[in-house]
Amino acid sequence: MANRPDEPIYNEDGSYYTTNRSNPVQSYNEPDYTSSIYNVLGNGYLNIKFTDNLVLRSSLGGNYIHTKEHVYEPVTSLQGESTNGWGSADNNTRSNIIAESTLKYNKTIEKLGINALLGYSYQSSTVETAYVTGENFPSSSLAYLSSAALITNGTSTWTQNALESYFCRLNLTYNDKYLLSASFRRDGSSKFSADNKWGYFPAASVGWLISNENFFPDVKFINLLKIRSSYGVTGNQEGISNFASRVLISSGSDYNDSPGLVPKASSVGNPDLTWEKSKQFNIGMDLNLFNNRIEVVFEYYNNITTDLLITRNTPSTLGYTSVYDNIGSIQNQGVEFTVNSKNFTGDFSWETNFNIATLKNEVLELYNEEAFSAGFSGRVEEGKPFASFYMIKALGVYQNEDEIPQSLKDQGVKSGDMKYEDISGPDGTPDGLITQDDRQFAGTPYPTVYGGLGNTLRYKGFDLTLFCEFSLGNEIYTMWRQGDGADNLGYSLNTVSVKAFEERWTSEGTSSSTPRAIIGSQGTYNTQTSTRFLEDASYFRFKTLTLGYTIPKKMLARTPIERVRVYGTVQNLYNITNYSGYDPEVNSFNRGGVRNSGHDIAAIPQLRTFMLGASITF
Amino acid sequence: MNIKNTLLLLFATLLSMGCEDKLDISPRSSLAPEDVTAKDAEALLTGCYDGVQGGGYTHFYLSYLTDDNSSDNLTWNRYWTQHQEIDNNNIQTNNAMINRWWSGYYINISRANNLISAIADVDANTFTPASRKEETLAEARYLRAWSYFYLVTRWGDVPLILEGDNEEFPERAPANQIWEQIEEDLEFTADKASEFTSSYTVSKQSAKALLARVYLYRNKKSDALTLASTLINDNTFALDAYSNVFDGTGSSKEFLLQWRNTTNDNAYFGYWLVNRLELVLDESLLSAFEENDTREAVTVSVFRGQKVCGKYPNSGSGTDNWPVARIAEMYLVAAEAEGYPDGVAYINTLRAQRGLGDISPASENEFNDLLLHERRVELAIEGFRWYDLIRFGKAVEVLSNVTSQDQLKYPIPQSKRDLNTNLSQNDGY
Repeated sequence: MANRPDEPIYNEDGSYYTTNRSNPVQSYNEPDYTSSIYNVLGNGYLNIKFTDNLVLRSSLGGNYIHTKEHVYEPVTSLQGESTNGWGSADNNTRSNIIAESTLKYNKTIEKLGINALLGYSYQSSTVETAYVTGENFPSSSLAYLSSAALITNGTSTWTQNALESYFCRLNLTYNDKYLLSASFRRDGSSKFSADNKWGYFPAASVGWLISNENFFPDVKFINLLKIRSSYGVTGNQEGISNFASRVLISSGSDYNDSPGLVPKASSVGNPDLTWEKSKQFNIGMDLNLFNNRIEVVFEYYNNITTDLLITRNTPSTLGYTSVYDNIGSIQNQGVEFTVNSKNFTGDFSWETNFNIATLKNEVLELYNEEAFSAGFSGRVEEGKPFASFYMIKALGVYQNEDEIPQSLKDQGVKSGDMKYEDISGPDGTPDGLITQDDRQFAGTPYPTVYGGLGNTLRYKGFDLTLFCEFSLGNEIYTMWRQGDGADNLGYSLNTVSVKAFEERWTSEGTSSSTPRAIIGSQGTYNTQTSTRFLEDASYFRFKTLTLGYTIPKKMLARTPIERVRVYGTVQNLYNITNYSGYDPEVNSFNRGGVRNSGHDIAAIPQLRTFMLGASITF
Repeated sequence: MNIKNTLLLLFATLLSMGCEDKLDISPRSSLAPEDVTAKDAEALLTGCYDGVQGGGYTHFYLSYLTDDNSSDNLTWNRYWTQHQEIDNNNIQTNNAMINRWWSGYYINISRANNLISAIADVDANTFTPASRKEETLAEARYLRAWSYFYLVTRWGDVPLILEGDNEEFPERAPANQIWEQIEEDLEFTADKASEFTSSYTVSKQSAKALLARVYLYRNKKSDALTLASTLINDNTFALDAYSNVFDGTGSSKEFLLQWRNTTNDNAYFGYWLVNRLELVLDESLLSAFEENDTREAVTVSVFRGQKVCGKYPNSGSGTDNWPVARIAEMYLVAAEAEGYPDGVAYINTLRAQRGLGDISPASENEFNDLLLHERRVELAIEGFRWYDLIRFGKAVEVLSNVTSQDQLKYPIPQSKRDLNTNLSQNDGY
């Protein structure tokens, strides 16, 4: 919500001051909005111990969520004004069922430890929605749709998916030195066609406790040394619609007010669709030192996701512009390093946990080797990180007429306008113009290095914990700066941020980053998608700070209470970053999935939360 | 829990395993193509109409205006630079409108193809009456031909996709092959469609009107003349006062076919011509009208001081129909097919209705110039002018922005070529 500061909230007669923009106070005060969520959970299980070694467990769980939303915009509200009151009723139910049976076997035969599991699970999720809107209400006190003279919209939908799995796992240990684990899953999803429903996903891991070997030198300060490695395949079928494998004909295409049916023209179903597979490899080492006071974990990981599930654009000559497909593969690899250290033990104790990881993401393979646009300003191309930023590069602001090439002058570019890099044209060479041909790779929304740092101090009954997170190299495209009401200085006659207004170019030498304020088509030259709005969003965040006090046991001796701890916590305490938006961790397009990572539309940042609490154990 | 109950529960759990149909979930608000019956055919046909009327793709309805914008009837006034490029005959290969329209035509074609395939094997006796099956096929083939007609007149060679084709990366077929297919489809429709009852749906007569146009454009003049004069002599249709034809009701007897827009359709092409002031009338069209031409007052309207198209008076509500075929066009087709000097009579009949006196051209050249002029003022903002200038070989002479024959074809959208490397580009792009 934004409004011009020179506009009043109310007219002199007490009515709302309205323009073609919404009056934020009116938008907030007038509508009657109620929303309720009912969540019912149920869970039951049965354990049968056939012998001490063989146990069957069967469980059945259910979850029923009902969301109700009632909106009434009376005639005094912005939306209700033109329609003599407007109302809607929205009812959604989601029911999930999960059933699982496992048979576990545990046995130790001399030095061999056996742990085996056989299992079956089934889950289904059903969503039903009903939505009705109406207008023209006889009175503002009749807020339900039965009073609406005109029902303007009514829809109801139903959708369901189910997942069925068979799985088994075998863990073997021998002589506390050798560890072997193997597992196998067969997963079936209702989202795929009969031939492609089932995916088979094996995994195996090995471990070797070198420090338990006889030949291992008897070094006092090394308590544990273990090397381990694993390889496994997992399947993914999330992120696609429940009927993504079906070519469908749907309603809603009417002519001459008769209802029509048409084949879907985008995100068309594909019967060949199959499971996305993630092949995960890692190799690592665990090392415990100095009486287990220092634990060091080092790991290398390499995950390759193949048969990526995504909607792929088509040349559309078959009547649809995009189709669900398994289109390529992506690699994520890096190293992780963790140190947990007990710096002091005893009355005063101090523990430090530190971890750091690197991430390198690369698109290995795409359908037809064809790069495509992803989300607002991303691009997916072989050899580049997935959904990399791809845009025109801003070089600064033209300070005077002499700096501007004639070809741009001809287009009306003047001093104070943005200077962009001209790298190409329609025939692949610079053409003196700034067009979509000049887009280039400009970074990624992913950090190159990230991690966390935690410290816990204890003295007597007191405990103090500070946990921090950091991320380096991740970038954010600030759509909120490009859009209306912030830095655009040229989109339309509307609000602009004070910062941008004061930093803007007014004459030679006044600004090398913020252009002049100019409305109309020349303004949109300055506000086009470019690295002008791309920012480094590296951060170091003091995530949580907790101070606790545990009341001494002897004070509770004559009560039934066993333990009392009172504490205060601050979440999201402080953030060190150069990012100019609210929150460098934000992603405004979670629903768009990874394609729109790193785009901020000034979404609500993470809240700073203060909590006081007591935990009492009886 | 006793052992009996335990075993029962265990049995029930085991029973629930391995029962494949638990994963067989069908949608309840959509239909699979293999389940189509005669009852669905009517709704699928409605879906085909929805496509040509504008429902197939975002802003597809703006494709109606592009011929007049490319030529000298409409001029870009503000907002979308894609329209400016079209107006200046300087279309970039990434022009988003061109891209959408291209997609829109193929979506329409696929809807028709889909219907043709879906009912091909459905027993005619399940239709009521049985002849409805052929009528449905006939209408679908007309709607396919209509889309190919605009593809071939704007782009030239284009991929030819017919029912059952599933080549995702087709090459462009020669324009001649597209024209042949259009003729074949329309000849089928002219033979099998129902008799005219409403100008909102395809009939034998409206198929003949488009076929007459196609024959004429392909220089099959005697075939064109036969069809045009059949329709002129069909008293279902008659010339009408121009102000009645474009009074916004669509009830005039001039209409053989129009795409109907109701308040539920959102085909706001009129809005862009009037309220939005995006495409306004070109100066040269304003000065083209002769004195006393009753078409001028209807065609030219004023909105916020600008001269805009007045033929679609429901622009605010988006409920103007798009004229696909009018009987007046058949007079002009007959005149052109008959040629000089006998064709003059058809022009004069039309002119008399429009409040103008006879013309008496002294030569074939003069006849052609007068015919082109008459087509321009009669059919302005109905999607004729661009291809007329091309057919008459006048585009370079008349349009100041056109300096090369290459500009007479639209570019194949670059994004489509990126996705289908088998698509060649037109010369000059």
